[in-house]
Amino acid sequence: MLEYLLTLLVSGLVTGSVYTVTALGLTMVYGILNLMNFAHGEVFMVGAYVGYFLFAVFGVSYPIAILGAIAGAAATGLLIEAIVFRPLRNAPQLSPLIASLGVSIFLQNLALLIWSPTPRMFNTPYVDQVVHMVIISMSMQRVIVFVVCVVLIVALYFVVQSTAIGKAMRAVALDAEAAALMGIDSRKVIMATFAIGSGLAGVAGALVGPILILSPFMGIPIILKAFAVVIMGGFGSIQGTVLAGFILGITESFGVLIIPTAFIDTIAFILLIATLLVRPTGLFAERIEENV
Amino acid sequence: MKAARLSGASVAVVAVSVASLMVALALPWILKSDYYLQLFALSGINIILALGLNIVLGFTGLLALAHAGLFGVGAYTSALLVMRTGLSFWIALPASAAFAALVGGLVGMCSLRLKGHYLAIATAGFGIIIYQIFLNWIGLTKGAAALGNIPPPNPIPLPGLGVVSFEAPVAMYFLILVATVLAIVICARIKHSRIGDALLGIREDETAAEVMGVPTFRYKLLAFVLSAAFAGVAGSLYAHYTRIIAPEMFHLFETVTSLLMVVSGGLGSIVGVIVASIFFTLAPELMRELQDYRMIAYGALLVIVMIFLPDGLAGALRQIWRYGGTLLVRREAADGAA
Amino acid sequence: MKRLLILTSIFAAVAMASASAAEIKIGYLLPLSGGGAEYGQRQLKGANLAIEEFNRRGDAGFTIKLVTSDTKCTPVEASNAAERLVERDGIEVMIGGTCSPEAAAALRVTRKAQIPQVVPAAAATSLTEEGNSYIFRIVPNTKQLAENLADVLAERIKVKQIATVYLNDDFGIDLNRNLVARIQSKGVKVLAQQGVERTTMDFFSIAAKLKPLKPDVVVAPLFNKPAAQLARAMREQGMTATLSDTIMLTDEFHKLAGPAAYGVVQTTFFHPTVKTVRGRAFVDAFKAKYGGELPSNFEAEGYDATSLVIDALKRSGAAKSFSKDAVTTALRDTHEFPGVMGPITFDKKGQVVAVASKFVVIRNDHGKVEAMH
Repeated sequence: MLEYLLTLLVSGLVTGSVYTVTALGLTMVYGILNLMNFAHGEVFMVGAYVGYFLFAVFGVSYPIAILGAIAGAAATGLLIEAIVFRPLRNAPQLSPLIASLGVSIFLQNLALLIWSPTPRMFNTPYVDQVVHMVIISMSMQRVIVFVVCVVLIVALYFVVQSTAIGKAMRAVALDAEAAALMGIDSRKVIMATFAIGSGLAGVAGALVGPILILSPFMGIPIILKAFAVVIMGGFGSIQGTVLAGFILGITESFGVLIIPTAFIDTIAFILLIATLLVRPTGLFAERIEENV
Repeated sequence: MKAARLSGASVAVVAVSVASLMVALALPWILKSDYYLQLFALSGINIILALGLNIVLGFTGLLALAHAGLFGVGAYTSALLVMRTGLSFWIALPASAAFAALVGGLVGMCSLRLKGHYLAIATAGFGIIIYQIFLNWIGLTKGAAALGNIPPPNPIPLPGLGVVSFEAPVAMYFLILVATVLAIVICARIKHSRIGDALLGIREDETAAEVMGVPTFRYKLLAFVLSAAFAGVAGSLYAHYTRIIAPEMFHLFETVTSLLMVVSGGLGSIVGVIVASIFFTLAPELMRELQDYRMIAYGALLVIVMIFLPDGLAGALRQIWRYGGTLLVRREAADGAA
Repeated sequence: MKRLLILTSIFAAVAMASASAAEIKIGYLLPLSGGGAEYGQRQLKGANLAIEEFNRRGDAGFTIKLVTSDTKCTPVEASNAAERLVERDGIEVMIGGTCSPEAAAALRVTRKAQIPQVVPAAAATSLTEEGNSYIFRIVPNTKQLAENLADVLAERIKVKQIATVYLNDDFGIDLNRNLVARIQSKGVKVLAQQGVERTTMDFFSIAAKLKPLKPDVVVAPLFNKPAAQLARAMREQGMTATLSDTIMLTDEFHKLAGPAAYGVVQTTFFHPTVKTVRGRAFVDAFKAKYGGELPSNFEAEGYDATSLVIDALKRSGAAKSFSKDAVTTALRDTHEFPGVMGPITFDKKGQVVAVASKFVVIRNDHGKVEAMH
């Protein structure tokens, strides 16, 4: 029994780390542009596929494949920003939201067309290596996912708090006009934010790809949960997102004990709606949103 | 000037409406094929569904994404009432609409304190929960195995026609036609009433509306309830028309099709939404070979419309009309000057 | 004058011959896209081979054209696809049914139109229990599959205790129920029964749940993808239990599961190492047409279903005049039709008698597949 519970805990931590990293990318973009990018899930999917092709088809080593995935995802994100969000910068709020939904559908089905629904196994050597930790065991891949995600989270926190680009991002997020007056090129900052945010989603995809099976629609559950995490954690707050991400991962994992497997995905929404009803600004609201 | 223009436009609208109605009535004899008639029947259902979304999104400016779920609520409620309790379709239809409206109201109560993206995500979440219930409450809905053998509406006696059975596609077509016309009329009445004004005011500037004393929450909730009722009616008709329903028809991404119809027709425009609904119902069926590209096209269209044609087809037509009008005025002025 | 007479007779003969080479359309409902696409594509290959062989022989007085429609293995699409074929394309003989809910939906349409439907793959027992006189299923139903698997596990593999992981739908629940009942009657303990959904992704936790129970075998009648994920998860957890499945696994499973596929025990009713004359001929013809590729039971199903329909058409006199009722009767009267999966005779409910799972396939440690007959 203890074995089982520990396994659930560990599994929840791994899933939680993935949710957190993806959600961080989402919240960064929201912080800067005040919009939720529905297509973020597809950026995750692109990362997974790029990583797969580089590794399984072109024979590149896994770490390099991950870097490639980051590049691919960042490029996708920048493309979306340039083609869809920039023209709609001054449009009413509804427009970029609907447009990003359109991008999401477009990318999913484009991927479906190009890469066909054949299930593909992203077989890194780590998937079959089993790691034994005292009484439980899991694949090395899961360990890598967790470690890399935690490293990224810490790194992101450091970047946002202490580096120049991080400070610029926070400045533009807080007050774009003032930031411009201070000589910050908000266009470059926005692009950088999109690139980093999408890159994060791409890494998550390349890491988790070997555990899941790749499909053009693999971004859908991820984006919905990322949304839930962002809202639960409170927009703009890294600590909140991290906390919410792990809470969701662990709750889903232990959920199998009480809820039939079919409803596990609903946990995220129930938590989301509960948050919206009880404490709409989230766990750690850094900004008072005029939306709530 | 304005009064004259208005009546010019209304004459055109009335003329076009009457003409369309006549074509619609004659359609079974023009088409001669049940298969194509069915496409138009489906268009009718999609029109009702899209008009419902138009009320909450087009009139009130709320991106409520639970629409497909409410459509499903109408469909399953109606099918189950008829099949499990032996109720007549003619009672099940309003009952389903009412129940869907109730669910829509509940979703609204929970979500309407939020705005913008939060509202979109919250309603999407509700839509997904509804979908999961359809999928997993197998005892009730049979889940993914689909609920089939749904009977058509019960035969009713009609004056002059005797007892009419709805087994035949033609009969269903006329039933749906009647429902569609009613939906259009009701929608138009709402739009040009005080309710409509309030909703449009909320869309333009909610804070201003509040300041002017409009009870915005109440009106937004009303919009939700109305749109859900429309979705419920559409759902009930759909279930008894296609005779087989499954959860996958009511997934979040099915809302996208209605969304596309409303957005490309023109947020708030009734005529635009009607035209767009018919187009997007017929096009995929007539271009079956291009089925693979359908969703790609939809996604791209949403983006293109939002960037280049945010007021949709109706907006584009209005611009042309206005442009034409300006040309006319200029020519008159020129003639006058000359 | 005589030459003219001869010429005219020749023309007349040729005209009659080409007129009598009427083309008969057979409708085939298949999942060509979506989750079940692999199974549909495989069936289609078998079907096309059968049609090509038949049309080439050209001795029956008619040719066959296959008209397919994609069902995506979902009931709604299947219903629409069936209606399209029946109403728009005028199909009066149907083959189809891979996923059980999809098959049920299509059968509703053909039953109402009084068109015979040969079901090549869908196994849910309920399909032949509804008093439908137009269904003809050429594969074992879930009860037969389950009992056969249970017998193999109990008698040949000699297991003592098992756990089951099954799909929460008509097919899976039915299979599981029959399997559990049969294997318990053989004295084997069933430690746990875990239902999963089509959308379940987390097999890691499921494996973790089963591990402490220490089953000898985990019986998981799942499709390639989830079976592969379960196999991997079991390996990750360090479970020593063997995985067992029935007809749903193809070589795709091997690719997807990697080393976790070793030792998996599968029962099936067709394998390319088949030793019967008919079977060998089919395998050779298939390899010749498809560049050395080997057929699995799905290709065989497509081939047999199509060959059976063609045979029924011949017996019903379709060369002279086609009647769907005559075809239905001919199908019902089928006696020991030599299919590549075995002789086909139908019982009163339209269920094939005695094909059952004749092969036990074990994927051994070296990745090679051994089939025991």
